[in-house]
Amino acid sequence: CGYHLSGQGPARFAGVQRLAVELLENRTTEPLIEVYLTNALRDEFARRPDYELVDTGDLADAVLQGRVHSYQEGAVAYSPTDAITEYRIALLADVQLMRADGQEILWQGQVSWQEEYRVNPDRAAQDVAERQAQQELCRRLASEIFNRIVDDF
Amino acid sequence: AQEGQIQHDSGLPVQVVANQLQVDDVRGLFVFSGQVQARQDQATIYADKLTVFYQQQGSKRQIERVLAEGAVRIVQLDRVAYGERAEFFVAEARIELGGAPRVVQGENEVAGETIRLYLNERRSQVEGGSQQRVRALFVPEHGDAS
Amino acid sequence: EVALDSDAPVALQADELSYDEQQQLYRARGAVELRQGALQLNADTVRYHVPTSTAEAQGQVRLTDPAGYLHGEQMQLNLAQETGSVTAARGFFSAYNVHLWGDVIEKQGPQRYHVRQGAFTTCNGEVPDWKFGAREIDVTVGGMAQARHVRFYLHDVPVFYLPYLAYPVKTERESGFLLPLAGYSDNRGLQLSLAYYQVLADNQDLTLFVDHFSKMGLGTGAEYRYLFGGDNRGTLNLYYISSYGGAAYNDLSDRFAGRWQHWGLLPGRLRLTADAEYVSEIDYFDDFGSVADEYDKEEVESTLALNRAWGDLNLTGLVQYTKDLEPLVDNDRMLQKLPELHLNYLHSRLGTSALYGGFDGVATQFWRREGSRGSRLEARPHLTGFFLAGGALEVEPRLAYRQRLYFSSAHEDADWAAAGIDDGFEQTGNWEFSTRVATRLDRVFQLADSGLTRLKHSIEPEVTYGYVPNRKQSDLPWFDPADRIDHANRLSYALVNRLVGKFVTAGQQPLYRELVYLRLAQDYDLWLDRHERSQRYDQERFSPILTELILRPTAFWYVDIDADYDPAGKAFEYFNAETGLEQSFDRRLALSYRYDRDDAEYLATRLQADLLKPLYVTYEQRFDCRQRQRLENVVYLEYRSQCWSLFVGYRDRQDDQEILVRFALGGVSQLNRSGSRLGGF
Repeated sequence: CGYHLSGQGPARFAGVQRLAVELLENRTTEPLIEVYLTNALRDEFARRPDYELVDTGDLADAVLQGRVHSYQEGAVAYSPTDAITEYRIALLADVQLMRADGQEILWQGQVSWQEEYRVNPDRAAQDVAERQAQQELCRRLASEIFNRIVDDF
Repeated sequence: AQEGQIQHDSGLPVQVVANQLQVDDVRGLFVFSGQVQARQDQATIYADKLTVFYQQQGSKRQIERVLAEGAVRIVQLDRVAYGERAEFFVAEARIELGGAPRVVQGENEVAGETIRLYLNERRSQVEGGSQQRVRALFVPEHGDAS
Repeated sequence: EVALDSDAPVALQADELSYDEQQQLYRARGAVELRQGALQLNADTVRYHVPTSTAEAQGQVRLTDPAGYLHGEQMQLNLAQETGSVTAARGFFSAYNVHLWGDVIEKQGPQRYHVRQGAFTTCNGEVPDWKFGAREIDVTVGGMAQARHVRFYLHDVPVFYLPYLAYPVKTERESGFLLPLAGYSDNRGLQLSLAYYQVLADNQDLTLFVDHFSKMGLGTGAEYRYLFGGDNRGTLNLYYISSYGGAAYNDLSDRFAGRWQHWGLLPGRLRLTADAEYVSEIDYFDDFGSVADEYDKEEVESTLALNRAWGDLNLTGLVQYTKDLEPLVDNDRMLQKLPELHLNYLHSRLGTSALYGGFDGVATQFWRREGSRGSRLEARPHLTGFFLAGGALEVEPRLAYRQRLYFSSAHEDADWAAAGIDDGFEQTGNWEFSTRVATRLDRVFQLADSGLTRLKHSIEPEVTYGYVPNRKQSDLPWFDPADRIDHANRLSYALVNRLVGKFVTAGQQPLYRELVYLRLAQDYDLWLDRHERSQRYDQERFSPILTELILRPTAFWYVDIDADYDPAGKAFEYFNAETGLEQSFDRRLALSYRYDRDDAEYLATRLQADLLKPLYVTYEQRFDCRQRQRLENVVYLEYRSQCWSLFVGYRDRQDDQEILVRFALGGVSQLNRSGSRLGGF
């Protein structure tokens, strides 16, 4: 019926089969974001047949590197008494796929995603909710980045 | 300063080579014509026709003026002057160039309607006119400008 | 500005030219034109000295280069160093539309000019709408114009005097000068705000604020911006208000607020970041917040973090201090993290196997003035396998062990003691197991040869089984919800559909855009399947169906819908619908409807229009649908003349109405830049 398994076709970039994902640089004042996003990106590439993930040190054909560019937080919903009920966090990442010899940029782009979390009178609970929203945001952003990179049809 | 400083001694003898020579003692002039080459010190003048005006003083002839006409070229080391007419006033050591004159030295070039070269003072004067403004092009030396 | 090529040949035209070989000096007279690369000098007479490539020009002198022009009576110019000076001078820089006059204008380099006894404006026209006359002006193109002994003129009328003034001449949006802000608000009364901009050095500047609020008091503030060593930048805001002792705010005196944002790299590849905010009174933002994000702020949180990475090992140390801004909250019981250390080993492949390991550890020292304190250490190694069954099915088992150690002074806290939380040392450990099974199918549809040529539809079904054994945790301290990890036996399944369009325009790289993103997800609680619902706060076996739909019909228009539908209650727990259309920077529309069964039903509208140019309108409305009341209406009118703009801002909030008027020179467009607004980058 025309649908086939993804990732089986020819490699998107000639000669690129083994890929390393480097720790992203964090240019924001929000700590740990680069850890969550790098882990999510490694999972994304490890689970898909499109590429074989290798450690940074190994003989990788290409290296995925980049930067968390901005982390913005703002209120998006208010209660009838005009109190904030929900915050939105938005992350913007610059990512580039370089050939291992560093000579050629195979793919480059800016990808963003946003998630919301609820305000909680217990501020400690609100912090945990924010961290969980950050981790979910990084998982979804990693999936978007992966799809942007393999988009080639 | 520029290499090969151009020095010109107008006292030295002038050798002239040409296809023909006509002499007119009454009016005190020699007329060389046909691929004329006149050399004095380091300067050489090429022209179609060269007229030398002189004064008879006792046994010696004193050259007062030299007029070169037709595809004139004056070469002194790396400096070359072009024009249709060039008049050389010996006493004043001055050359008057006319007929779309141009002076080229290395990569530098100057053009105008009339160009006057003062050989001893090593100074030159270029004038534009109605058809032709003065145009000059020169390349700054590298490194020593700052 | 294009760097002039001082080695390029110099072409000269004139009526008359003399050349002195000894001094290597050209003297040109009569409509002289001298060109070198992109620079052109016109004058009545020019003397050009070849060795030092210096030119002296007299009479109707005009120097033009790609950045602008300098006219004057008499000019010295060093073509090699691009320095020189002009008398009776007039200058213009096209990129920033800066006009300069001066008895003397010195060109001190390709980008820097010094004006003696002159004037400065960005207005065109013979008589500029405004200008600064000054004894001295230093202009760095693309940087700053700093003037001393300044008289500000409207048309030709001197209006006020300033000893010093700095006028940023940066990009379009950053150049300009803030003139006084006038306004009135029900709460604050008459408002007059002055901003004074002082350049301290190439990498530091300071803005001083003085705000008079007739019903409140006098506010003084400062915003200090710095960039050290190329990679350490930050902004520090301080604001202090002292009360006039008026009836409404007699308790107001000595109110203080501060904000510090910093990002910096220290030697040894250490990254230092700070995002700190502090207010002395909890209702600071109620009184001074200028946008809803601020005046409804429910907490201020300060985080200072140090980070160092060694390859895949990452160490982050932070201190976090939170202050609750809600009334009737005892901030002395607020738990602060002084400090918290994170040790993370990134997910890394074990050799060439399909197994990946990782480690996440966090140790936190909790502190508060009153109530129990303590520390918590959590270590969570995990192992994940990424297998491909039959070349089609992604099978991802993951096993983790979460070990938690506590040390607390529970006895100091009545609630903890009552809840049976033990004192001193506690620990617990638990396994977390999950397996994700997923696959992905794609199909490409061929549509046309240009424009939207192809469409790829991809379907990603995913099922994850998660199991966490039950563990007794009631005796553990309760710092935050992470101290109670519910046991789980759950099946989560999701289906993601993507429709990606390939756009081809001749001669350009093909562009891919995700036109449709649809995600449906739900959980099924296997544990509840075999137990009474009441044992788990009456949760349902089937969780609400989570739907996420993002449409991007064009690159400038998006629709984003999130819905959580509870099948048991046959109702939406959440329903959010948002759309945004951006035709240009000044022409946009954004609508956001957010329904939450328990808390809020809220509609936000924001419209920016430039249809009545040069009048630019911004309209915002925040509407509470539940009680059908307008929470806030905002109207900004901005009249943009060529070199000045007038702002009028009207804000109608539930408990305050405010109108602000600001006259700004150049491109600066921040309306409410009074000191009370804690800026930041």
